[in-house]
Amino acid sequence: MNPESDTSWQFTTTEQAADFLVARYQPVFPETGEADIAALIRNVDMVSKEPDPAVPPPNATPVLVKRFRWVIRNDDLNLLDSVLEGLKGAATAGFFMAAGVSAPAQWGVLVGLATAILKVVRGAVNRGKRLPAELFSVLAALKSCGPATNEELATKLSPADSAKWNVAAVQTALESLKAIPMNDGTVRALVAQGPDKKWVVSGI
Amino acid sequence: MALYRRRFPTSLSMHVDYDSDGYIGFTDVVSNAVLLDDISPLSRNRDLVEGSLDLKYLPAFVHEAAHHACYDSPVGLALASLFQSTLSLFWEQVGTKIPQQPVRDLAVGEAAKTLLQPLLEGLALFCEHDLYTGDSPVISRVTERTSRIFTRGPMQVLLRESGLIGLDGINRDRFFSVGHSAVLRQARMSTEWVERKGHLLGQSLNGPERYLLGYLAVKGIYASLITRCPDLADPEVFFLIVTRHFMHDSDLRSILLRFRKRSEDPAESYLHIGQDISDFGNRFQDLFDELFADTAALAKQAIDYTLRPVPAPEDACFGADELFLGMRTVGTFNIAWPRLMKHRREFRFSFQPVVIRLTRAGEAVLLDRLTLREILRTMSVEGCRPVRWEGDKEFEEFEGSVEAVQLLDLTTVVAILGHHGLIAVYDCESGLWNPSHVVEALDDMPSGIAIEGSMHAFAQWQTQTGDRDEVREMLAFYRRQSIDSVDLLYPQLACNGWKAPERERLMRAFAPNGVFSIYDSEEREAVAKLSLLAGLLAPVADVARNMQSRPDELKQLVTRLNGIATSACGFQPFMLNDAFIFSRV
Repeated sequence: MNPESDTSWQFTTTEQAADFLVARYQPVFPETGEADIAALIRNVDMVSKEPDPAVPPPNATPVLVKRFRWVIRNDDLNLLDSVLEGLKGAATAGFFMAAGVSAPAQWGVLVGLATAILKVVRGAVNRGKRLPAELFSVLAALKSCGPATNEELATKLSPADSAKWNVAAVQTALESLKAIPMNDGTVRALVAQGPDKKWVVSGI
Repeated sequence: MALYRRRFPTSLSMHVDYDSDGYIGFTDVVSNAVLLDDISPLSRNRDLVEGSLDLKYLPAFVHEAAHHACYDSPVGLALASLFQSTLSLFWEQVGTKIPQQPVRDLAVGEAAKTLLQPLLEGLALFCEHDLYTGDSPVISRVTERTSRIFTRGPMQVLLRESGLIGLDGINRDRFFSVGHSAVLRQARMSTEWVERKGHLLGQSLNGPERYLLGYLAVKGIYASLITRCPDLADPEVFFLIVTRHFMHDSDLRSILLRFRKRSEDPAESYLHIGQDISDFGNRFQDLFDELFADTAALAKQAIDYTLRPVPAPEDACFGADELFLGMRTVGTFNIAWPRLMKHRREFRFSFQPVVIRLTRAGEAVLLDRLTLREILRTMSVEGCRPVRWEGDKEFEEFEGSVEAVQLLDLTTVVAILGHHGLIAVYDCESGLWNPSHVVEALDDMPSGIAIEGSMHAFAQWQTQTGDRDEVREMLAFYRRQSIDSVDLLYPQLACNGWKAPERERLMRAFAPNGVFSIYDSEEREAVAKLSLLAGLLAPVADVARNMQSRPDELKQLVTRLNGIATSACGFQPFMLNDAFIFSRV
C-alpha cells in the first residue's frame, strides 16, 4: 500500500485492501464480528482495480502479466465514514429495533442501507466535500420508519441525542437531502415531501 | 511513487537504501527465490494440504516454477555467482582502469543473460500455456510442484465422483497424466487465462524481455523436434530435454566461470572478455545444432537422468568450477548478509510483507504492514531470538514476510521469515508449528524482503563497477551485440527453415503489437482462445466444442486467421488437418 498518496490508499492485493477496511471499521462497531464487517466491505464495493506502474527489482525475471493495484479513494472513505457514523447514530436512537428488527438482523439492515446509500451517493458527491453524518442518520431514520413529518422524525431521533435532534436540525438535514450536489453540477433528491407534509426516501 | 523506502545492510556498518514498489511476481537469479502473488497461505493452508489451491494462482505459479527449475542447475548457479562478482571481487578492480575479473563477470553475465532470457521466458510461457502430462514415464519438476498444490485435490474429487475411492486397480500414472492435464486444460479455458494469453500475443516481438519472441521460438523448436523424436509427444519430455541440454551443459558453465589472472595489459584484458562472450555465444548456438541433430539421444539421456537414483551428497565432487564459483560468492558470507545461495532449491511461492514483533517471552506476533493489526501470534524458533536483551526492552520489531515454501520433498510449509532466517514455521501437512526437521532445514532462509534488498545491493555494485567511461562503452557494445544475436537467432527457431528476408518480414509485421498486430479485436480474442485450446495438438472436434462451434465452422475460422497472417507475413499461426489442430502461437 502507498501511505504517501494524498488521494488514495493503494494495495498490492485485494485481500490487503479488505483487511485495511476491516481494521478501519471494526472499532466503529466493536460489538460486531470481523466476518460481518468483511461482509459490509464486500457489499459497499469501494476497492477499485487499477493498472500498476510498479517496476521489478534490478536483475529480476518478472512474470508477464498485466499488473494491477487495488485502490481505495479518500473521497470514498470519507463518504463511508459519514454514512456509517450517521447510520450508527440512527441505530443508537433504537431505530432499527423500533422497526421490529432483532439485533443480529439489525446489522443486516444497516449493511443494506449503507450499501444502498453509497451506491446512490458515491461518485455523485462533489469531490473532497464531506457530507455530514447527520444527513445519513435522518435518511436511515426515514427509511426505517416510513413517511414522517419533521416533528415525528425529531421525536424519534431524540433518544440518541436530545440536544442535537430538534425539529430545526431535522428540517435542515432534510432540506440538504432534498438537493445533494452532484459531480456534473446537477443536484439529486434523496428525500421528497408529499402533500401531507410527510417526507419519504427517494431512490434508495 | 514507490511504496516502501527500505534499507539493506551490506556489512555491520554499511547499507544500501532503496525504493521498493513492492513488486511481486518475479524470480531472482542469485537466490532462485520466487516472490509471487500473495495467496494468504495462513488462511489457505487447508487448500495447500489438499492440493486444491484456487486455480487463479496457477499460471503465475507454473511460470515461476519453470524459471526455478531452470535456474536450479549448474548454469543457473554459475550465473548466480557472476551476479555477485562485482561485490565479492571488487578489490580486483581497485586502483586500475584495466578491466579485471569483476568487469569481465559483469560483461559476460549480462551477455549470457541476454542470450538465455528469451529461451527461459519462452520455456516458462510454454509451461504456463501449453504444458500437459503425456504418457512418458517422466514428469518435470514444474508438474510435480503444480500437482501437489493445485490438481491433487480436484483429481481426488474426480475419483470420488466416479466411484473410485482409492487408486487400487487403476493405472496411477495414466490416471495422473489424464487427471492433471484435464484440470490444466479446464483452467486454461477461463476468461482470465484467455486475457493473459492475449497479453502475451500482443507483446511487441522486440520488446525488452523478448517474451513473445522467446515463446514463438520455443513453440517453433517443439514443432520441429516432435517430427524428429516421438518421445516428445509428451511435452514433459520436451521441457526436460531443453532444460537439461542448456542449463546443465558443462561447457556453458565452464565458460561462465572462467577465472582470468590479473592483467596489466588492457588489450589482453579486453580480448579475454570478448573471447569469453564469443565462446558463450558459439557454444549456445552449438547447443541448438546438437538439439536438432541428436534429439532422440538427448531425449533418452534426459529421461534416464530424470529417472536416475538421486546420488548421495558424499558422491559429489569438487573441481575448478566449484572453486571459481565459490570465490565469486565469498563476499556475501560476511555476518550482515543473509544466506542467499543456500536455499536455491526450495520453492517459495507466496509473499506477504509483515511487521514481526518478537517478545521477551519468545512469542512472534505478526502485524499487518499497514494497519499494525495483529494477524497471528505464535512461538518463535529459538535460533531467532536475541542472545541478550538490552535494559527493560520488552520486544524487538522488524520487517519480515509470510511465505509459502515447497520443500525438496514437495511438502508445503508456511514460513515466517526475517532478514537472516526463520522466525517460525507451520507445517501444513502435520498442522504443527516449528517441527524440528523443518526448523533445521529452513533456519537461515532469508525473507523475500532481504532477497529484494540484496538485488538492489548487487545492482548498486554492478553500476559502480560499470560506470566508468572505458567500461561503459564496452558494456554498451556487448549489450548491443547480444541483442543483435538474439534477434538473429530466435526468429530462426520460431520459423525453422525460413530465409532471412522472410524472417525480417515477420519481425516487421509483429514488431508493434506482436501476433495481434495483424488482427482486429474480435480476431484477437479468437486467436488467444484458439491458441490455448489447440495448444500442442488437440482434436478438432474437442476444440470446436469448447469454442462452441461446429468442426466445419472452426476450420473456416482457422483458415481465415491463417490467411490473414499468411498475407501479412507468411506465417501460419495454426496447423490444421482433418482431425487435429496445433497452435504455433
